[in-house]
Amino acid sequence: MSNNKYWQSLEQFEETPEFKEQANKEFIEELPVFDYVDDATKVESTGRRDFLKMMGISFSAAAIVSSCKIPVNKAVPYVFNLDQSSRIPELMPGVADYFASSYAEGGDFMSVLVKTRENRPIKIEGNTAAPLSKGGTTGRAQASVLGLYDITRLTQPKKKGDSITWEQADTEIANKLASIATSGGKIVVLTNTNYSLATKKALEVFKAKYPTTEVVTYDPISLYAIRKANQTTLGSAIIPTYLFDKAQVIAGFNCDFLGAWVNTTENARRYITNRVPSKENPNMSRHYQFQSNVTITGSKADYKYAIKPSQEKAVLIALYNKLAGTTLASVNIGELQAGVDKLAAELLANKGASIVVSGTNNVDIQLLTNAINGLLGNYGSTIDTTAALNLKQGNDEALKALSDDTSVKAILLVGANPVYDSAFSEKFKNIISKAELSVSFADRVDESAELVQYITPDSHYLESWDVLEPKKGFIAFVQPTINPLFDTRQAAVSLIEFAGDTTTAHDLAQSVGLPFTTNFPTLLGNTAWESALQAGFVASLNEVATGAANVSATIAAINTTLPTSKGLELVVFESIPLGDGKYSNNPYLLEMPDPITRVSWDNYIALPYTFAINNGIQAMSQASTVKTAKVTVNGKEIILPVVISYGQAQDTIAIALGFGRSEGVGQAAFGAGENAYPLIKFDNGTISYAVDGVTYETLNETRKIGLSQRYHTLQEDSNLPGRPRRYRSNIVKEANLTDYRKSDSAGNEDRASIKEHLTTLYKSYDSLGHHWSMAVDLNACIGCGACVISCNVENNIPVIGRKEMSNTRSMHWMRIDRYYSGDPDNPDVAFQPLMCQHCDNAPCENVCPVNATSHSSEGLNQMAYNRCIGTKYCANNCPFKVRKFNWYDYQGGDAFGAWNDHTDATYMLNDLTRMVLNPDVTVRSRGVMEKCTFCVQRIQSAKLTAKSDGRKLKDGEIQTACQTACPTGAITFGDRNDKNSEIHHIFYDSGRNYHLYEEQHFLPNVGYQVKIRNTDEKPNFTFIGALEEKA
Amino acid sequence: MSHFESPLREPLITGSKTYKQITDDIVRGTEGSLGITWLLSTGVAGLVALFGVFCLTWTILYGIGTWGVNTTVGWAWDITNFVWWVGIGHAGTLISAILLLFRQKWRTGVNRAAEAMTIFAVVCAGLFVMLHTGRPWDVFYILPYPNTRGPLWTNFNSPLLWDVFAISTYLTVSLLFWYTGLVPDFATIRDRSKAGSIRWKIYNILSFGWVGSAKHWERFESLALILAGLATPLVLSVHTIVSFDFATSVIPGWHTTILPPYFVAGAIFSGFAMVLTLMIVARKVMNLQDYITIAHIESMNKILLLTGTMVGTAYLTELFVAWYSGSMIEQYAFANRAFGPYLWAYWIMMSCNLIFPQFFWVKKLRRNIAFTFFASIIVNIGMWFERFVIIVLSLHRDYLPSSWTDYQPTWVEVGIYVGTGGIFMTLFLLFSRFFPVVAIAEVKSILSISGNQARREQMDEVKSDEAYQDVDARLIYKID
Repeated sequence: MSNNKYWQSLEQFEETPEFKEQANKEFIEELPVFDYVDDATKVESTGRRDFLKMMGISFSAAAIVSSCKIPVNKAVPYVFNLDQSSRIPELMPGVADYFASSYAEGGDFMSVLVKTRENRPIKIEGNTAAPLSKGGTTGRAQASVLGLYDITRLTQPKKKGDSITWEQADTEIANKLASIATSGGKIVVLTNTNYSLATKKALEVFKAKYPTTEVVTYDPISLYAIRKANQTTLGSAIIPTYLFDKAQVIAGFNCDFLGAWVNTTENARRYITNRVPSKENPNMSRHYQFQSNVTITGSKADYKYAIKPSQEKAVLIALYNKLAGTTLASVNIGELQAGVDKLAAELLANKGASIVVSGTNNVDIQLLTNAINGLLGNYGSTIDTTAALNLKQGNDEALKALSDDTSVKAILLVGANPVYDSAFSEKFKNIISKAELSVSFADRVDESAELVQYITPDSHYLESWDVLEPKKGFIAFVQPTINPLFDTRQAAVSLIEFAGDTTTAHDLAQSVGLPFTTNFPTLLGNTAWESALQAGFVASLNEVATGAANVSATIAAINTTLPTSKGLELVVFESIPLGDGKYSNNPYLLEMPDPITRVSWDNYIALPYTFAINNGIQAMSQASTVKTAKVTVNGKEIILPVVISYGQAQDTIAIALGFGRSEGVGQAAFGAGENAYPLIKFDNGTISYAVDGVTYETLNETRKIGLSQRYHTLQEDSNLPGRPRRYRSNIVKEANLTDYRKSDSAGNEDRASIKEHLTTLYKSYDSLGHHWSMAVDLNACIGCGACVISCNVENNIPVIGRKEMSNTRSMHWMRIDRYYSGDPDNPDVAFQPLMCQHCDNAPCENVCPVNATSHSSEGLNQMAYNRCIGTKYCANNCPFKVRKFNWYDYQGGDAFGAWNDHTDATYMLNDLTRMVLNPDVTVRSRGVMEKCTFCVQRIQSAKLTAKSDGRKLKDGEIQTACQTACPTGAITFGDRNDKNSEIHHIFYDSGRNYHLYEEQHFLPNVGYQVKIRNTDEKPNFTFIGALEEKA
Repeated sequence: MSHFESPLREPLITGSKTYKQITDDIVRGTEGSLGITWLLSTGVAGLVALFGVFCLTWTILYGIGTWGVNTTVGWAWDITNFVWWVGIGHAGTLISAILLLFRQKWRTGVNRAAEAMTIFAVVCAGLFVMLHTGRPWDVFYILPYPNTRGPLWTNFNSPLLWDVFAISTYLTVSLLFWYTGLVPDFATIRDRSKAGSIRWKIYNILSFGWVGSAKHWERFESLALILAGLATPLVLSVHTIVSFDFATSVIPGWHTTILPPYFVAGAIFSGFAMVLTLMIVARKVMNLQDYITIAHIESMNKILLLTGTMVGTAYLTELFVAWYSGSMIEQYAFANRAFGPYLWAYWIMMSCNLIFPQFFWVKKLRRNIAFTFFASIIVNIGMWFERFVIIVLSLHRDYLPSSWTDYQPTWVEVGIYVGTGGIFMTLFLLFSRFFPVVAIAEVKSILSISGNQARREQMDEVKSDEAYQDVDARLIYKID
């Protein structure tokens, strides 16, 4: 080693004072931070624009220096080994950290892992170790990471539209609260269901300080009737856990328990456990669904019946009569009686192994289902009352009482937005405007926050500490994964600050006092706290159901008077993409097609088939331009585009909630659909989401909607004279369980002969090494679309907006096709997730003139974006149309940036939102083709890890984004050359596996498993009625 | 060039022309003031061309998103127009190469204009090849030139790459052929202008110093034959390769082996129709009725009838094969064409291309200029729809019903198409004003055998012959 000292300049050699001074500086030139900020800002409070400018500078400076520290020094990454002496790992650029956290929203809870890269949260994954969701997620959870980088979020507290400091807000609000409390004025804290122990604690502190405080909880989509009915049946107002995996017969009544009810992620996981037959265990539960509007749950059912909302009670009474052998009330349900008789017989045969649930927010109906479940002995076997859910705690009666209360002096909206999402919008407007103090904790100027005096913005959950108790016996943690981007503060902390306490959020979480101290004696110790935080939860759950029902009291409480229906009935329902609308400014969610109607960016008037035809709507119009209609309920009008929902009950109209937001909610949500909350009504102690006495009128206007699937069936539409219409049954293969029990390859019989005839003129190559393949189980897929959003976030897929969606230019790398078959008035539904099939004999590859798409030796069909010149030839030649073209510059990845205003989707074009982009995946520019890569970045990363560990890749080590998101495990990915892999087992041992258009010899690497329905009848494929209407 | 020709054949040059008159008649068009008609029509065509350039610029600035194409229908007007223009460009080579080899003298009247039309049509087609891509600025990737990108090379399996070779070869050969023929005529124009004037200098350069020596003529004739030999396979290959874009794919309705002959016949069909459209106008406006006679028009109409029937046979064969194949998706693709949402496009195609040309079985209609003009336009509409049917109607209903869509063009696409029409017309008008529209040297070469005065002499010679006693001489002379 040489001791020569090299010098770079004469100044250095001479060690001049200027050089020394320069050498000690981090940057040779001063960072030009203040050049971008006007003079006033330097001294005074920062304006929003300047704030963003500062942010931009700080972030780029941070990136240059690369000396970032973990944002909150006490957060513990999931993958970090606690045994190491240093608790805080240094940030490794290019290596992702995962933090366990929790996502709670509406009726759903999920334990999640937050993937951060260079300290930016960029992806939500399910936490497979957590007992409730077991890795399952929803689309909304997947998209929530984009919400963090929403430019519409408030950046600091506001007083009547002007920015103020937190000190000012705290002082002024605390002073006002104090004066109201001393004068005995009523203070109301209005929240949505909140099972945060931190908030609970904060509210206790708050109440102690201001004793005149009343806390009212409501849910935009309420299940209050369940709790109320259980007060009678079980003695306490709880929502039990339904063990769908233990049920052999499941009957749902207007209950979308897989998509939009309560605890849907856990329900879906449990439900599907018993719905996927295999060679070893060729059994599945049987599912009956009685529904008014078409739901994904109903679409998974074996037998489904369309009922009007007003018929539900009668049907349940008829079922009860049949089961009990007595007559609770005499009812006439006409044609439905046959279905009820069949259901009753099977329920009786499966006593203690069945579940009857209803999603209707009506106490009598809930009491009826309770009575039936009690009669069948389901409590304690398939219904667990011990593991009571803390989700959906809203009290409709309390909300109603509050809305009529004229004595409210102060109202604090903690996560609540009653002006938008309650049945009492006008009344709350009044209360807010009349109150001496009104505060909203909203993160944006939503419909209620528009009217309040102070907005003290809440932080995003990815910036917050929290302890949640979604279910008795289960505690979950929320930990921050990034410092708050803006000057926001967690609601619980704000409440405590208003009460004059100064606890920080973190200490608050630790001081909550976990209710498990007896079971987890070490929890109070610091190590235990950190390991619990690292895991994301602590649980003491028992898989054995307990509980008993008081059937006689339940029956006695039922009011058997049947509702008399007046004319048309309206159902407003929770939208699968948007939920109750709380996160509706999320462009990923707005662009996610509804699983049933495949419409995005708008809600619409869903009409049943025959009714629509009679009202001059074309059945299979196949165009994205549709007629609009006017629906009038109790003097309230709503005008929306009309969409046919095949299978919806006759004389009902359905409209989704969550749309029609105000301008302050954000660029994406504003202008998307209309708000249907004003149409709901308070009726007999609960909020009713079904309303009768509706008038409908088709208007002479048309509107373009984002329809991403225009043709709805596998039945061909036009035919040569004399040639029968064919059904493409080779796309979604189906069989019934009886046939499946006879043969493992039921419904898939043609595959043997196809394989026999598969020949090629060309030399075939042995596939050595890995051969990546994917299997999709059509039985397990519930069509929820979590995979689609997960794919969007993982792969930087652009959002394109309504106009482009209506032009069928969806950029989604994977989509879930939905096909109808059978009677157009009550069709069978099949979901088929479709992504690039990675054909080994890919038609796209040989037509590209510049070799931009090629096949890897591991079976991947690869895209070289830089090489693509955009001839679109590959997309044309793709039999599955999974290749997506960048028609415009959607993400600012282009040299023509100045011109990208031509698309109406500019949501991804600002620097803040672009922070969500996954640095492992190229952002594609305008004019190039893109498509599913099988998450090649994950494959590469896992291969590198295995290589540096000096071992072979393990099966299951690589999980694609769609696979990790799936709540039901419908997607399997792996190396089919690995004889011990699951995918090998599915591809070579399962009779259910098939590939799309196998006879065409595309050799896809994606396999589908035949859909098995537990019906006595064979699948019916025709869809003639609706097609004939077209002509 | 002299050989015996039956005096019964209709003369190809009428009006008892002398060689001097021929020169005068044809060159006159390039001399004198520009004329209000020409200025007006060129102005209009130029404006339309400018609008096309505007739409192209719009596309490049904003992206192909401004078109109506979508995920399922990735090609529509762009490739329809491309194939249509290439097809139109087919008459030129056919006339100059194949008809030259088959010694069809009547080609001399129309070959110059047809070749010019070919070149202009191929230019328009080339525009679509370049600009249907998402990133036209990177389109040079398609050329297999030595580069620094390591193993990145073009994909020789791709028909689109063959297209590039086919079209560029075709353009080069057509251009050479055309220009070679123009050289003696440029010299003629030069010689008629004032020596040393700008006009003289320009045409002197263009004629490469042609002096008309025997050596020049000998080389000229050889070159013409060689180029004709080279170009002949191109007549077949260009559209065959264009058809491979579809035939080698997997889309039902594209994946058929009949496409190459069917495309070649269709190309000749549409090319001749376009020659007819242009020549019927040009002969009238430029007073060239003596050189482009009814006989010429009738000959071309016969070709329309032949190729139209060939194309129609192909349509019917496709239907038969779809039925005979037993392939469900194949059958559906054709059922959808004929009875699906775009059935109007299919039936426009059928009636324009198969049914309408059948009128040309009637001699009266073959020789009727107004009807011919109308028919030529109908044929080109039909041929445009043929490509639209093949491209859009196959794509919009393929394998998975979930991806079935429709397609509607936007103003940008229509603008580009109309604009290429403007470009084509502008170029053709410039050509007709500054270049000899009829090949002077070639027409002169047939005057002694196919001119009407030659026919008269031949007739006088044979009149005494008994075998010709019954010939109705009026048939021969009525054109005078």
